[in-house]
Amino acid sequence: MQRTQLGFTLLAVSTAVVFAFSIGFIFLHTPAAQMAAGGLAQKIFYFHVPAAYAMYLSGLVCCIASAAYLLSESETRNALAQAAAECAVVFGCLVMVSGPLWAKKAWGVYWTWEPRLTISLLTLLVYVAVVLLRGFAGSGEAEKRFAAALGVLGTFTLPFIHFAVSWWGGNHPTVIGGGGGGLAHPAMRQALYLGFFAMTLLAAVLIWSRTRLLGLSARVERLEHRAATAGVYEGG
Amino acid sequence: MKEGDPLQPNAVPSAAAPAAPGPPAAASAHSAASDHSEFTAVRGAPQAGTSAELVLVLAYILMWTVLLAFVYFGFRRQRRLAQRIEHLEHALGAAEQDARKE
Repeated sequence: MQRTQLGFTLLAVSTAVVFAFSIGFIFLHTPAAQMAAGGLAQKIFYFHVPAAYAMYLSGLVCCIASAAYLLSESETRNALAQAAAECAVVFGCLVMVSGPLWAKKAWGVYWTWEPRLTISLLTLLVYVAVVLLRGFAGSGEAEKRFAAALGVLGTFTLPFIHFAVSWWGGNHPTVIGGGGGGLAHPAMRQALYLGFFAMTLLAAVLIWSRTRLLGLSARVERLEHRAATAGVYEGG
Repeated sequence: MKEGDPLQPNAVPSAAAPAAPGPPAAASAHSAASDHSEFTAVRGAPQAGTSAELVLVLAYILMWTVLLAFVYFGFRRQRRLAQRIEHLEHALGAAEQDARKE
């Protein structure tokens, strides 16, 4: 138990250090991009794209844990699936908050119904639905299984976000694998990789802490049930 | 942003590159969009008037606010649950002791 706590603390501290270094690198060493990319506003990119990647990562964890739960029900798998869905929503919100602000500078509008943006919004809404379903539809086995199925299905939208630009076009450039977006300077690519690393650590910290939180919540439910059976439960 | 600044490797957009005799800016933007290598502004959208600095600061403030709010509310809930567990375990322990005495 103590070793787990130490591991978590180390991970959280490492995440904070990598983020601090990443922010310093982005603002002190990375040059501003061309005006077509928003000039100085392009520095949003180094958190915007890694946040989208962290949403993929959380979605993937949610999918695996949900599929594992559907195969064999367990409290840990359910908690992990729920935690990952919650984190996917948070990372999706980061993408949806940062993207439109950058778009206003680079494209001239906050929002346009281009394929990647539309599918990203749909994916976020799927994970919001998973979280709401788990939060408000009760804690019965049927509800948990339905939420797990939705968690698996939500993941199938993720590749569409990634390949939307090459399949259907739009205003986004293909940066990853396509060499677009004007990442010509080596420091720009380093800042992006650093962002990916920082967001991977952050996703791990958040999923871990949320899983632990949901574990505590389940433990409270069990204790309340025991207390009710023993006649000492006062509610609350 | 100074023109020719080594820290601005992409400061000169491809459409304005002197060595590239070719289509005018609008047509170039269209072709860039078709090979998906550049950012493409939405046609007819106003391009001036948005401060890059303001947008950048706003984006970072909003992102960190969302993240810290998530962490803070999680931490608060965890503390509440820990207190509840302690309370319930104490009550259950007392009830078991009473049952043994009887």
